[in-house]
This record gives sequence, structure tokens and C-alpha cells, in this order.
Amino acid sequence: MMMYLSRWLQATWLCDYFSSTSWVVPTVQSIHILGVALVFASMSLLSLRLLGFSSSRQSVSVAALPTLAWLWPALVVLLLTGLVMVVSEPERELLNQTFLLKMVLVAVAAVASGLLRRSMLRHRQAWDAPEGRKAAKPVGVLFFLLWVAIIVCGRWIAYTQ
Amino acid sequence: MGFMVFCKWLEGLGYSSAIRDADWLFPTIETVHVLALTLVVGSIARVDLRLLGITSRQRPVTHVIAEVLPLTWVAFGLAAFSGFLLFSSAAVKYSSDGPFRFKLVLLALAGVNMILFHGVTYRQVSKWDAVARPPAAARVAGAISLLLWIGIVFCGRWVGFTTSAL
Repeated sequence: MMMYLSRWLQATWLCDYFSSTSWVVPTVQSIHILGVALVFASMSLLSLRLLGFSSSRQSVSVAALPTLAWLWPALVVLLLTGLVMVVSEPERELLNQTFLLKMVLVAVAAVASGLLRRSMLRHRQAWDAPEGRKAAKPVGVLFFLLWVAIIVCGRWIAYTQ
Repeated sequence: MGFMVFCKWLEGLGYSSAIRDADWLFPTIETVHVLALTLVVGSIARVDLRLLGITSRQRPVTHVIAEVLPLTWVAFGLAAFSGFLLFSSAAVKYSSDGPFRFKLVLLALAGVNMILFHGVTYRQVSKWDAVARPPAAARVAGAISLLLWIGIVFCGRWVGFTTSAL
């Protein structure tokens, strides 16, 4: 299926335009990296807060909710820039296992943050209580590791052609 | 002239050739570099956005800076170290690469901007700490910092574009 999709994309004028205009792909990649920087730094700060390594003395919900709230707009920017990259070089991404793995991890991260945000909004007091603080620690570790894995996959697409 | 000699010497060191010879070393160090630099840029952006009065307006500036800066420094150390290893592996090539040199210039300017901010504007922070929109000097420092670091990311990407096929 990926083969058909990538062949179809390869034949479009958009793909032609993006790949022949030499500055498009590196520019879009740079914007993508900036998006990654915002997301990963925020997620890391959130993880540090949940693990108790941060100087901020906020409750779990106050620490997490603003970050989780604007994660989705940031992911949209990442998705759009990613889309341009896929359209300009369909085979490089769509036929690459590392890229497909990265997409799965991104979906997991997006769904997990959505679920976490919902849970925190519904059970705020439970999350802010001592038991909630304890439960938040493995959550912090998991999110951090997920994003590290996503970024590593992102870089290794180039090396697993 | 002396700098070229230094670059050639760096390239000849044991670890530099190890990075060139092993398939996986360069990609691994490069990945660490990417992870570290995204933390540097992202965390600095958080401070800059607060200085510009765009995000976390209800939190005092000193709180935001106190929370973020330790992460920034650790990440910067990692980024600089991994960057130096990558540079060593092909020092002659990188030192004559336009985007790479421009990236170093921008890094230096970002450092100057930061020193000026901390040495002058930040000294008075108790006066505007809790204010949602900091004074012009702080906003300017934040804006310059953001622009410089965006430029650094673009330059970094262009180094990869101009020096290799990957």
C-alpha cells in the first residue's frame, strides 16, 4: 500500500516542485526541528517537574495541564512540515521502517497525552494528592523516553535507507 | 594558517579517526547532538517567550528562569561536547564551510546577548518580575535571542546539507 501511495505522490506536481526547489526541504526540516525543540523541551521540563527535580513547586495538575494543552497545536505544525517532507521525497519516508515506527510512536505519544490530560482534568484532586504525585513519576519517565525514541527514529531515517 | 594546522591535528587524533571509520559512531554522536540542541533551543525559547510576555505570564520571570536554566546548561554542555566530537572528525572541511562558520558567529552573538541581558537588564528584575509584559530591554533581549537561535538551527541544518548527502 505504501508502495502505491509513494508512487502516486512521486508523480504529482507538488512533489516535483518541492524536490526541484532546493531550499524547500532543508527549510521545512529546520522548521520541523524548531517544533521538535519546543515540544521536547516542554516535555522534558514537565518530566522533571513530575519527577520532583524541578525548582517549581507546582501541583501535578498545574505543572502538567498547560504543557499538555498546547502540545496538540505544536504537533499540528510538526505534522504539516512532516507532510511537506513526505510529499517531496515519498520513497525516502513511506518505504522506510524507521519512519513507520516513528509514526506509530508519535500516535502513541499523542493519544497518551490526550488521555493523561483528560484524566487530570477529571480527577484533579486525586492527581494533586500524594498518591497522584507518586503515580505521576513513571508517567514523567515514560513521556520523556517516548520523545527521545521519536527523535532518535527521526534522525535515523536518513541512516536506514 | 595556524588554525588549519590545528584542524589537521584534531582530525589525526585517535577518536577522530574512530568516528570516521566506524559506521555507527557519527550517526550516534549526531543523534545525541540533535537531542541536546533541541533541549537548548526549546528551553531558551521558553525563557524568551516569557521575556516577550507571550507565555507563562502569571509566573514570575525569576521562577521561569530558575526552573529552565539548569536544563539549558546541561543540554548545552552535551551539545557542545558532541558538536566538538563531530567537528574533530572532519575539522578541515567544517572549518571552511560557510554555514558552519556563520553558525559559530551566531552562537557567539547569542552568548553576548545573554551576558548583556544578565549583566544589565536582569539586575533590575525585582522591579518587573511579576509583570506580565516585561520592560522593552527584556523584550528586545528575548526577541534577539529567539532570532539568533532560530538562525543557529537553520545554519546547523545547512551544514549537513552542504557537507554531505545526508
